[in-house]
Amino acid sequence: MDEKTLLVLFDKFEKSSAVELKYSGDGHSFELRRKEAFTAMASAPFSPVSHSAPAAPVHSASPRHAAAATAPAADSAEPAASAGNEFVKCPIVGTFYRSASPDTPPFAEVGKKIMKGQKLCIIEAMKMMNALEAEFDCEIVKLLANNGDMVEFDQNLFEVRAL
Amino acid sequence: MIKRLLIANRGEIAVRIIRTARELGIETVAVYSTADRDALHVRLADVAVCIGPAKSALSYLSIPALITTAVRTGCEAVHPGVGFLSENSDFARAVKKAGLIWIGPDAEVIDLLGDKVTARDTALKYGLPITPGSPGPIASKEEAIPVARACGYPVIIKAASGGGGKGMRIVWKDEELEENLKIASREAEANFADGTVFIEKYLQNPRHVELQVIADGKGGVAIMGERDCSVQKNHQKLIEESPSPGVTPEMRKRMSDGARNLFSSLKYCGAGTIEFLVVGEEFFFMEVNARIQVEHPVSEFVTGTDLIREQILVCVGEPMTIDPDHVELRGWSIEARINALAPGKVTRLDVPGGPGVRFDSFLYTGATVSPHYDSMVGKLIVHDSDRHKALARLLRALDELKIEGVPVNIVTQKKILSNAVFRSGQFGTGLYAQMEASL
Repeated sequence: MDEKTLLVLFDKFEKSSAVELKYSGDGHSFELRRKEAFTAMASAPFSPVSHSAPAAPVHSASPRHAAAATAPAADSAEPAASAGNEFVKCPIVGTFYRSASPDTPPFAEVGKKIMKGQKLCIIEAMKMMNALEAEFDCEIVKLLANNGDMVEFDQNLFEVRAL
Repeated sequence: MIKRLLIANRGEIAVRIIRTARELGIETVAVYSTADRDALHVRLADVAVCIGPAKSALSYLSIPALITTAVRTGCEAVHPGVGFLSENSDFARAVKKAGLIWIGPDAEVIDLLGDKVTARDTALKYGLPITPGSPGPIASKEEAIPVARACGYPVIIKAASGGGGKGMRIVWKDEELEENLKIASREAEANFADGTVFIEKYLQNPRHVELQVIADGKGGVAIMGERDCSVQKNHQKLIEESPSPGVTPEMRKRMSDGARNLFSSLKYCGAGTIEFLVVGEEFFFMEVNARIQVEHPVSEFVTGTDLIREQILVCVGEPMTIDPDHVELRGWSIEARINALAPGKVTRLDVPGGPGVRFDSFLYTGATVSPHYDSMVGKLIVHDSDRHKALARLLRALDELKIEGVPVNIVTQKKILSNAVFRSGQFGTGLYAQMEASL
């Protein structure tokens, strides 16, 4: 894409009512956002933002608490991710779904490669389905929450290996 | 009776609510931010859910996170505690809409009391005096003089859109009115883009007195005595007591009658506080706080009642266990708030004890005082038969209280309790500033 085309695109975006534009192709990619896009994100506590964390373990509440309402899998005293691996953490409180609907296959399976921007799972909160997308290309090493579990903020959902 | 309750709060008040809930056989669900993973309320609750990061706006103030947690953990009711969302009518509505019980008055009642003008008009209607002043804006000296004379000097000129002391002028006589009206109006215009001002009687060094109310939503109202909260630093209460050294039985009756009418007519449900400014034997309605308050334990001591229990009972539709018409006040209770002067980790905690001593806190040895939240870390409350004895008991208990690792305000509290003016009982909201000035 040459500079002229780019400037025309910027101009058209500015004159349109769109608040966000993502482009990728012919070896280039860019994102344009108006400031409205940021206020929308800031005011919506349930915006689907994914967090990745360094390999250091993060301790959640004691197992007694987790067991009462949430997955036994995710919230017990956590081991560190294996060397070189990372955790994908839950950005909001809600219900964890591995697939878009009961009759569709899960987004993520152990061994599956998920590219940046692809969906990992759905977190439902107050009847809103929030897709959690991968922030970087990765391979799923371990599933840490079960379909239908209640998941907490900051809970580890997947152990992944960055590609 | 409900089986499970979500506590939409943290710290000392969350711990306080868990204690009563447990005694009532109600399971509790605590919520916490990542900064509170090891907090006492998280440890004490039956279930605890991390709802967001340290920043309150994304955790303790997140209505979607709180509602989702309450529904998903099978709660039947939500207790908002104090501060955070406790007087937020949107939250009260969201709780109700999710099919849950709100431990507090209806959203509509919260809205009505939150609007200062409506609240004052409502109070006046039920026989509670409000600070005298101009009914509307004042534009000229000619309008101002009759109003000021009717109120009696000193008067205060206030900006209609104001706050924080801007656009306020105190006036002592007719001759000072014209110039001060102009200055106040110009200041108001500069600060709030609205030069409208009005005049009110200026109360000098008033007492801050409030009545504790429990109401059942059907018109039944129990007045649980008053609290004196005049010891304040920058409008933050430091010491509270019940009864008030400045309230006579006759004043208490007039205040209580007006409050009973007001809360009864509103069909108010739950715990609430009605605040007054008191000068001599006169009192003026200020506002209603539609929630439980931090200083509720002094009222619990003098009435022998668990106010959180009564609050939960009336809100879930159970009868209160007290007789609203026969509330007896016994002895004297004083509370000293323990505030952290800096964040840190508690390395040692010695809690005072003995008869008539209560320490409500979220601290334990090893607990962290986070920089993200309120500086109050505990409340030391005592009870004895009269004010003199209660003061001696509080000073003794403050001596016993040892908190290491986190600096706290114990020395300041002892200075206030030993101050001659404070001990005389004849003081107002200016006491702390006067003490600071004389140092």
